[in-house]
Amino acid sequence: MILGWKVALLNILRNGRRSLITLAAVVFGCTSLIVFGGFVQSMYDGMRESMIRSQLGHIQIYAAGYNQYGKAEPEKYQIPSAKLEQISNVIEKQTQALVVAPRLNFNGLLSDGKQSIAIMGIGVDAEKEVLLSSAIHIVQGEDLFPEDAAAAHLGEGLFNALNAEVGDHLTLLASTQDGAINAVDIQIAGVVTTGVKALDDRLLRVNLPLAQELLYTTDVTRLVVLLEETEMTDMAAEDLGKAFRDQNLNLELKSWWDLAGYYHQVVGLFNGVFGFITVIVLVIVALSISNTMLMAVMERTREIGTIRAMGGTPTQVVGLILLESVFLGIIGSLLGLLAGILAAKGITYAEWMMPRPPGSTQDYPIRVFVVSEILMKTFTLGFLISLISSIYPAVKASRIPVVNALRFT
Amino acid sequence: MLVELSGISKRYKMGDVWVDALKDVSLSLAKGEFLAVKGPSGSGKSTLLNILSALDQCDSGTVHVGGINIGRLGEHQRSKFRNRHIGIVFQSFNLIPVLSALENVMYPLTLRGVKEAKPRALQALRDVGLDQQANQRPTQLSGGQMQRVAIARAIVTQPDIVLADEPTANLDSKTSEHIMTLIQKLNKEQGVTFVISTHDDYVTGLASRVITILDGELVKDSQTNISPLDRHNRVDITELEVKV
Repeated sequence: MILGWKVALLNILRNGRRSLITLAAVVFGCTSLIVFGGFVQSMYDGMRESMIRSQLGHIQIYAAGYNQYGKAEPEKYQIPSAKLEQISNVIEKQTQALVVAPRLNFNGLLSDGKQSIAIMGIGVDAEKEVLLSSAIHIVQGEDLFPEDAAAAHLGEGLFNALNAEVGDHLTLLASTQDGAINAVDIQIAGVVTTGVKALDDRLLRVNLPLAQELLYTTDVTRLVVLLEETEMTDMAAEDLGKAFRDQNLNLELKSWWDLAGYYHQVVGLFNGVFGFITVIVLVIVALSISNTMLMAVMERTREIGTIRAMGGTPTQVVGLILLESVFLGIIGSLLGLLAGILAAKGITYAEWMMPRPPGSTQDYPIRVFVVSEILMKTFTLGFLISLISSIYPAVKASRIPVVNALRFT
Repeated sequence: MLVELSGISKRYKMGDVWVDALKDVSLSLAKGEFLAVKGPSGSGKSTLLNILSALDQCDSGTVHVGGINIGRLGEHQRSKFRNRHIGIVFQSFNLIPVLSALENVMYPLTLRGVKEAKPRALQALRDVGLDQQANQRPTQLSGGQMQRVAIARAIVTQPDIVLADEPTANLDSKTSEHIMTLIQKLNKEQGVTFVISTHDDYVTGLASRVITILDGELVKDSQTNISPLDRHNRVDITELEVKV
């Protein structure tokens, strides 16, 4: 059968221009899939890490029942300060956590004396949040420092709505855990953006002691854990859950995966778009290959007749033509992978900027990841589509009556 | 008998007209014969060879080659039959251009999965005097050399019968002589059975037997020296004499 392989391979070189057109179609398809897939993957990755490092952390730990009932009665589902050290010890023992940071969430009103705006407040441990919220960018002003008791960060949208200046003093009102109204003075230390406009329009970050003073509590709403790598999340969550149960700590936890509803919606949407584009690309490639293979078969009708006359069966003729496609598919897919990788690296290196997406506050540079899974899928698809789109020409060639094939000029 | 054709008929439709390519042709052929099929263009020579080589099927009648009724074979079986029992030499050589002379000759054997294809192909090339050109591509060979390769390819499988459809039509007279001398040699020395269609008198002069086909009918057979039509006529005359 080595001779059959040789015939198939040499036939590819026989009409170089046509083979190049076929190869170009496969290379184009593979490159498109690698670049678009890598771009989408970089978007997923960027969005995921941005959410993790600005809001969610990798794992969040709450008092048991918080996620079910906490919105109605938050004061009943807080983590007591007395337990924080024990919980932190368990987390540090069970996971390779970079940071375990407490947060106290509250809703309130921020007033400059002329107007009051509803805010979504978070009391944070300023030192730990530097690492945990590294994706929150300071647009104006400076970081939060623990020693600046009244310092606050305002989301960019909130800051603009108040028409304030960095250093201005404002009044923050909220309900204490007992239901009383309390107020504290804050000073704008900086203006921040999370990249999510809806959040930036309402975000207020203050030092945890100030938030606890405002709500008249020593408890916290949650502990946010940042791991070394996002891939560690599932295992860490499993270990932590088991350790909490073993130590009778009445807690519940959620991973970023559970909390990132927006992320899942975007991923779902883009997966659908990617799937649709993949189908379109594959159809274009398949039509191109099928067309060139039909031309190749037509030109070699007489040769196919000769092979049949020598005793080649219809199956052997189909096999010969499919073998050519297999070679074209392998060569085209390998070249496609190379072209795709080069294109991905080139686009990333060029650092072209994409306009900000809906709901976002920042432009972002185009990054195209080279993902081994996408490369493997692309190679397989390139190879398979070459093979599948040659089935019709191959079967057609095998069905030409031998006498007609031999007469073909 | 190696070949037995009995009452073969074949019709083609050309446009809206039906053409009788062969009409009730019967023929027997013994092993080792060198049969020339003579007749003008369109007389049915090629159709006869196509049916004999299982490339085409007849509308009526039976064809036995080596005891096999090839009319009953399916498409796949007919391919296998051709590979094992028939060698074909084409007017235009029909060599595969991407393969060397040796590989062209090996091809029918590899279709069958023969492992010693190379030594057998080399021997076949030696038989036709082309072993020195074994590694040359068809484009590097002359017309006569290409036809020799085609003959080597036809005999390499040691078929029961080699069919050649006007094998010298595309060659000059000198080269034609060389090719026909080679065919005659293979026939005499190796006992290869040849059926050659031609309208070249030189070719028919070398054949051990010549049949003539005209308008799809076998009108003359040199073996019996009496045409089937003559035989019909004689019967008619006898009948007439009896009546008189």
